Amino acid sequence: MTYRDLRRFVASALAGLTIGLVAATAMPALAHGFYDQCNTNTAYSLGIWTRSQARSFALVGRYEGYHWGGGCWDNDNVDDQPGDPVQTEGTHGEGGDCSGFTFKSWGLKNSETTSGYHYWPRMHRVHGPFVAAEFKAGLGPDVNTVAKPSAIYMDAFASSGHIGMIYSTTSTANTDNIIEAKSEASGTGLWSRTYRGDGAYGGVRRGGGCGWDGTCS
Amino acid sequence: MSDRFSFSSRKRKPTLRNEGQMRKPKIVALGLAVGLVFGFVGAWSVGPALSEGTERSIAETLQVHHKQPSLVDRSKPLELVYDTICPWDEEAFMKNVASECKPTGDIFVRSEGSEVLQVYTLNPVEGTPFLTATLPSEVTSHSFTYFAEVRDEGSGSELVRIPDDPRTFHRAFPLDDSFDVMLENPKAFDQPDATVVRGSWGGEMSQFGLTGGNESGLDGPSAFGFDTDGSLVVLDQVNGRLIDFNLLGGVDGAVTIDHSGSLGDLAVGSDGVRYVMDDSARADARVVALTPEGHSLVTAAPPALLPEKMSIVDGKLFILDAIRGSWSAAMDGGEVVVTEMRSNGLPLETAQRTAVLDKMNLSGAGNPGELVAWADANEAKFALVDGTRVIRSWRVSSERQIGEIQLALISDGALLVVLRTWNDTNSAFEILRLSDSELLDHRVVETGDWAQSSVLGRFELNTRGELFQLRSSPDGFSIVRFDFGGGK
Repeated sequence: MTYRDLRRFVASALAGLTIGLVAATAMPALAHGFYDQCNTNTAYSLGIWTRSQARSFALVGRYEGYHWGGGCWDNDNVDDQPGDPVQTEGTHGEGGDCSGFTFKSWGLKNSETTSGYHYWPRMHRVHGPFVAAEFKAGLGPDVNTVAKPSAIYMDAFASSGHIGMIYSTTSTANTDNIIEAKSEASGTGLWSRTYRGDGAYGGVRRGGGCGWDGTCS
Repeated sequence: MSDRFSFSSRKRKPTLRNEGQMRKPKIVALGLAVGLVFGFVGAWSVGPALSEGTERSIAETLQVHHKQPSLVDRSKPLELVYDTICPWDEEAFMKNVASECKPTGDIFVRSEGSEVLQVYTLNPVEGTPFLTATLPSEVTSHSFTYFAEVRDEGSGSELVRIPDDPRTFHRAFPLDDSFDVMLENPKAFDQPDATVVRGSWGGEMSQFGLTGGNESGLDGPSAFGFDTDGSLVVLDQVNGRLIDFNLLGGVDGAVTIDHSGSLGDLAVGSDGVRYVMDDSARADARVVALTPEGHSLVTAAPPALLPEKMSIVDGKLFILDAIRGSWSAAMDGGEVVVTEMRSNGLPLETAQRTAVLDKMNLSGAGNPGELVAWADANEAKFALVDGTRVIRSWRVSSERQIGEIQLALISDGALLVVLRTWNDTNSAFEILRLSDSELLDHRVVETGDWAQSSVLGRFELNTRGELFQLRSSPDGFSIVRFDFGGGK
């Protein structure tokens, strides 16, 4: 190989490197999906988990994506894989869906039958065993129904097709500020909602656990 | 030139040229391939780490939420509550390091007519994120303004002022001689006077967009408004359009809009300008001012932390903020307004002020400048305010839970209110028309909220005093009308 050939090789390799970097950075979704940045490491058993901690954790998900059946998100305030087909899990986009987002924020155990609490870091890929209708029914050992007038921050309102958690209550028009994974178009965010008075929605409360309601034995 | 000349001179060497022409593509291809492989591998292995390193989050700062009481019982102690939300530190949590976030703060209160700021310490409520302070009855004997400063004693780095705009204060007005209404458990629904728009779900011209399903709920058209001739305009954001109806309720056409498809809101000015709010969390929330033909005049971020409703007063667009609990001016005839006013009251239109003065015997009581509305689960309160004075007020309570105030405005010299009441088994909207001393009209209507719409966008009043309600059901979308007489 002559010096001139070497220069050509290096120049073309640099061009290829640039193209490769750009393509791989711009189109990860097409080849991999956001999921590939996530992990399935061992879950952390939760000791204390307060409503305040759960709320702060949930807020990290604001402005991230929504993905049907999904369960991991980063915290760059951008849906890194927008425009996924709705009601389709296979494209592995960013964000939880409404029940997955609630499951992780509440730190529930990934079991329909065994009680306990786990911490799932935001990049941990897990949806949990419950869909919105099961939350509404209070299914599982650590999910209970609660009278809607009694619902406070980080309790949830669930219908047969959706669930959102109470973030705060500040509206002078008497709505609730709800944090929820809403839809592919809306993403995950904080919105004023009227679920409390909506007959389709019921109140849902995480089963106690150390710290949740201010008590630890 | 010299390079080209030099290259040209090299081509005169036939042997080298032939070898070079054969080998050059191979070398280039090999180089490109090697580069592409390293590029992809490098980006995929290092990319996520780079992304992690440069990420930022709104959740990194202390947030303080406060529901301002706005309308208070005169000369009674008043507890103010501040809800603190500390930033999430995953790394510290994983290392089992206790959170250093320990909010504390003070409230600074100024009574009407006083230049003195009284300071009250906010005390933490054990086991909760709440800070509270109780203002004594002397404070609530007059209207007063206040703000709070909350800091994170743990890190010592945060100082949050509430309200966050240093030019503004929260305001509270004491109520005494209000006109009170008690709502009984409703026994039956009142039917609308007419159904003016009806259509099935879908994307055709005479249909309305519906989206969602399991794990996201159902979203239908967000909101509606009235064009300059009184005809209806519907924000069909799922299909990315504004649908225009004629005065007979038939479809007159549609204008395509740039919209995420997320829920939003719509307000139409008397000049025909249409303000469309797109409230997607994936993109920054925005309000776009459009001509009736759909040409964009201006796009701006709504002056709200959590936009809840848009309303137009004397041609100016106001936006209600659910977190601040206040109205802010946003646009005027398609021009962005530099927001200076944040008030818990919505200004009255000029025509309304005149009608109120005529019909409510307000001579000498004051000049009604704004309508303040406030509700919790037990009571909804409304007051006409002149600066710092309440000149008329109303209280509405119910045997059931009180839900949201969908609409509160002055129409034809009376207060028109639409609010939700509910219990465990059903929910209804109750429409009230109130003079200063009489319940003029009361109707109980179906909620028709099978699909989600703009949170406070289900009712609108036109200039003829007709009230319209947006409804949805599994069968489709409709807008119904209730006639009350009088004009807006």
